[in-house]
Amino acid sequence: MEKTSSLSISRPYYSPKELSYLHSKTIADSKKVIYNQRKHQVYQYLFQIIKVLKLPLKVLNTSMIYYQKFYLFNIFEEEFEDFSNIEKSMELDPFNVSLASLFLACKNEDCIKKLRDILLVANKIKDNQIEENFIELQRKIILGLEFKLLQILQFNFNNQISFSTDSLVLQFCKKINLNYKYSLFCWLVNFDLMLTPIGLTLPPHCIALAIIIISLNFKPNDLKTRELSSGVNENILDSLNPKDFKCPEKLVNEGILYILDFYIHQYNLSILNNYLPQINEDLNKEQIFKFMNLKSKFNNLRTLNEHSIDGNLLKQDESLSLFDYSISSKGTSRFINKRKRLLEEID
Amino acid sequence: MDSFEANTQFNQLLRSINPSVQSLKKTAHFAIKNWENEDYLFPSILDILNDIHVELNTKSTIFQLIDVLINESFTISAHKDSAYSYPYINNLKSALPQILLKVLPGHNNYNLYNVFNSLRNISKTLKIDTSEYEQQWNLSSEMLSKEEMENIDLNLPYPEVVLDDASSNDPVVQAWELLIKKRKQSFYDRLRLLKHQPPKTEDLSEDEMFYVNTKERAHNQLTKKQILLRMEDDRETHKRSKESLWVVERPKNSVGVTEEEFMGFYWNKFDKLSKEDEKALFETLEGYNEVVAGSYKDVQ
Repeated sequence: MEKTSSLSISRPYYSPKELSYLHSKTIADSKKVIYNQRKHQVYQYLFQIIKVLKLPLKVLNTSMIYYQKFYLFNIFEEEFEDFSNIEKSMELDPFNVSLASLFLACKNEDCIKKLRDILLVANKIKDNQIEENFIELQRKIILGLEFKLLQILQFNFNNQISFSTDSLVLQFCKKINLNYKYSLFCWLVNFDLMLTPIGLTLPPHCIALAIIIISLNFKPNDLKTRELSSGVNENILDSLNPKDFKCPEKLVNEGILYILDFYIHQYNLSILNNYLPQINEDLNKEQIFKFMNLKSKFNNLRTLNEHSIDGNLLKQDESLSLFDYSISSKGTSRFINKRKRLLEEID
Repeated sequence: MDSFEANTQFNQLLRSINPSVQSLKKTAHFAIKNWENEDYLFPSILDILNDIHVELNTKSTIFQLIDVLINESFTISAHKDSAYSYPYINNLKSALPQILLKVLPGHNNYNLYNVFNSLRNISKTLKIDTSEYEQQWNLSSEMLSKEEMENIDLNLPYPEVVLDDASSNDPVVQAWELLIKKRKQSFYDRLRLLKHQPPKTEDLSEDEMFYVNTKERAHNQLTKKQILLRMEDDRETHKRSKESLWVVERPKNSVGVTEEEFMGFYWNKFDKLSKEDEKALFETLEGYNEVVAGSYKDVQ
């Protein structure tokens, strides 16, 4: 029998194993490279739009989270060959998905822009012809994509709560009196991380604290800045306790290792690369070795617990299957944001 | 564009103005671009404010336009290679007190808060310190004198607020003085109404509620439709006022993120949290940890 109703619970975060399971279903092996390329392009594209519209960086961050979340539950494919169905291929276009993400992120971050204004800027950047008919169609497609996105997010806008990672990073820096140079380093790392799915796995405060711990270990004294900085108190690191920041320790550890891995693999593409000299002062080697050293130092950290997650169980978990949008058009889809409520309903 | 054509077009823009950012900026930019015709365009702004057939809602929007126009003229002219030399600012500034009374005529003070917000922006743009008046604004509920309180008991109307021609103060300061008087007037009227007009307890039809088709409806009183439009407009206004809170100005032609952005919008913007704020932040985070914990299948 066809399903006519569904009940799903909002899950802002997924464990790394769940992420790779979801990706294995939505991104074919042959498309992995192109998916990553597209993600970089989309990121640059959104960044340009954000610059023209003077939006704050937190909007970019949220947009990238939404964009990546979309491809956990929708198959990544680009049907550019089939010109017969324009609407369908527009719907599949990752750039349109990214615009829907941006539009929704603007609303959630309280920096409201009309969709029309976003589209005018977006099309100009892509050198698209701006014809009234085209914009009208694009608007329709993007509003449709936005609705899909909302269902994937289970209409839960609490995900980002009232603070974003960038402001938390700064607040934590100020709390422990970190100097200008180290704080800038943290801010740059946070910017680099917007390209990664770390925001799908970990909450903002744990990412922020992980970044700060990395900066204290990395000691970025050779970061090129215009402002002079005072020295950093060596004791900060020893007295840093994740509990003081209300961060579950394992999640912070997960963040630390994730960030180190990211720089070990993608340092050359990172923004940090533009700010640090090629050779690390302490090691007299390239910067990447510093990250590798730290990685071996931190290798024994206890990270995210994934005991109960194995392949067979994942397959049985309906909430991790492709999102079925047809249920809500034929019957009812309901969304709940507390696990406790869900368990009560099932009983 | 000759002066006649510019003026015609400008009038069309003014008549169809709405409080969205686009509409306000478009009109302001048109005026600035045609700065050579300021002698024609500036009086058009006054004309529309003097026109008794123009709704007060529109006049409130015009006041917001003045706010935007002063700001844009200032920003554009302050630019290093700018070809403009602060058009409209002088004219608008000296007419401010008189304009203010047109937007808040007689005892109709429902544009009060919008005028307050715009006047505050204008003062900020013109770098005039008005913190003293802002304080008075917030305190004016306590500002009624003993005599005035007695007048309320006697059901006497509050005197009309009029322009003091003899005043030699800066026009912006004069405008603030008038606004504070208006604020008092509005508060006084409210107390008087509460005291002397018994509340109606019986059911009222919509027509009665909005004085539709009765002679009772005084000039400048809003109809239902106008009230609904106004709610829509104020939403736009609110959105616009928020925009100034988040706009990030970045250096032109910059690639990637810049240290300037970090300096201006992060390092200098964030102060160490006070004890109470920090406590509140960590309480929120603690609460959020429950959501986080619920999101993973295993205990973390």
